[in-house]
Amino acid sequence: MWSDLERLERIRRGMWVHSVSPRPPVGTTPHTVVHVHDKLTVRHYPRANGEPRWPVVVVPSLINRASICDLEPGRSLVGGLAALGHDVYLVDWGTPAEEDAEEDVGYVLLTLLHHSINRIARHAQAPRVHLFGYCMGGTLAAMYAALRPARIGSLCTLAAPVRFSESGRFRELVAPLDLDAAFPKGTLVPVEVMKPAFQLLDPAGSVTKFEAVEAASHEDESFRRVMVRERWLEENVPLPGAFAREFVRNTYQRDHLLEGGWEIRGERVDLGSIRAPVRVIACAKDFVAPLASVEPLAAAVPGATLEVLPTGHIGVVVGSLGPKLFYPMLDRFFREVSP
Amino acid sequence: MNPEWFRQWEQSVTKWWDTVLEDPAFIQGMGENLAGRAQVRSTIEDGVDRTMEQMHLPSKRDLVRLARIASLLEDRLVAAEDQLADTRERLARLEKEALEARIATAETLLAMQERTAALAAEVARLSSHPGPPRLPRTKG
Repeated sequence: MWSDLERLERIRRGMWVHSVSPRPPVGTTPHTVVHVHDKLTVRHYPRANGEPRWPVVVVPSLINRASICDLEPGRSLVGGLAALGHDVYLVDWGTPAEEDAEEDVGYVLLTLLHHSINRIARHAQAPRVHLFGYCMGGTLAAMYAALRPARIGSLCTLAAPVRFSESGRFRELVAPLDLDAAFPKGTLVPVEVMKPAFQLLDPAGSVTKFEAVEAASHEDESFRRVMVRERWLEENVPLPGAFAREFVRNTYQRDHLLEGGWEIRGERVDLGSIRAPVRVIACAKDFVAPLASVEPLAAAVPGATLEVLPTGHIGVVVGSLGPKLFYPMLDRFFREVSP
Repeated sequence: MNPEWFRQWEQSVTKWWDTVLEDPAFIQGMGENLAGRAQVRSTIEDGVDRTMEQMHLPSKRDLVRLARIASLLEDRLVAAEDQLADTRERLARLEKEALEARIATAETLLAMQERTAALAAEVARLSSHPGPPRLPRTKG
């Protein structure tokens, strides 16, 4: 049994290994770029087999790289779904710059995402798409399905909060913020501000993770796996200030989304108006999007179903449960609701 | 170092951290700190911009403005392309419907022509038939 001092030494070694090791490549699944709009890119991952169906549109969060959906071979959401016979299109929001600081939620949904979905449907020659959103991407996907249902064949969300009063520590952090002072007009929310906010959700984990890094460093494959995940955790993306002000105000501060109090360009967002088949997936051990903040979407949309997985926020997408459980689960849902 | 002492120290520090992180005042303070850092950064960037402007050099603000204009133009272009694609699809649908209607009309016309020809043939046949023999008149 190792002593606590040896544990500290392992953490120290892990920190050193972490700082000097090169980061493995990510996003290596073959794809083609089918649409570019400013910083946004839509990538197509062609199906490996089977007949053409409605394509799957994957919408990740704006504050992390889209490479979470294609982190490594064998544990790639887009690669996994393509191998199961689906044409997959990944919406990569890109990295905003200063000129994007005034792009609000309406711009993201009704300009960027709307045109992307139109292009995807045309490219796939399909009348509708399956829309899948992860984390904030899931919240946005649900809002889009409510505002522009025409091309939405089905909606599936993973760890997508909608009841923000149940968001735990993150809400306590941002709820008291004076958003206009914190994120003035014309500015981005820099990575240096967002990263500490997320680290506060699990401060001990920010240190103890180095023990896992050290343990993994003795075997190439385990180490590569750990460092791929670390790369994604390090690569945060700044957020347009206008988007941050509107999103945080209407979600974490006023919790307007579920009760229909949020208007986008004059249109009320009514999640209860979604008529496409909906599957809500929540993670029982998620402290970023706790279960209580995610599951109300299933109650708000008529006919929606809820699935709760025994994992944390990212484990089901990039962990071993992905190919074993999660990707087949999505595959079954998309096939069930396809014409 | 006494491992038991170290374990107790670790437990008490962990407990202290848990208490502190659950304290709304601390969380609020951290939030304000983050906001302050964003503000400081914004102020520094404004200062650099003003210096560039005073030297009559393109400032970051100028470049951002130009990039924003390019972005807006791209938005309009994408929207126009979408509308064009929509219009093309509608035209293709209308063309298809018009073609189907023309085919249906031509088929109906053909059917009518065939029917008319059949009727004309029947009339011609009936006209050329010598008819029933005339019976002699009986004196009655």
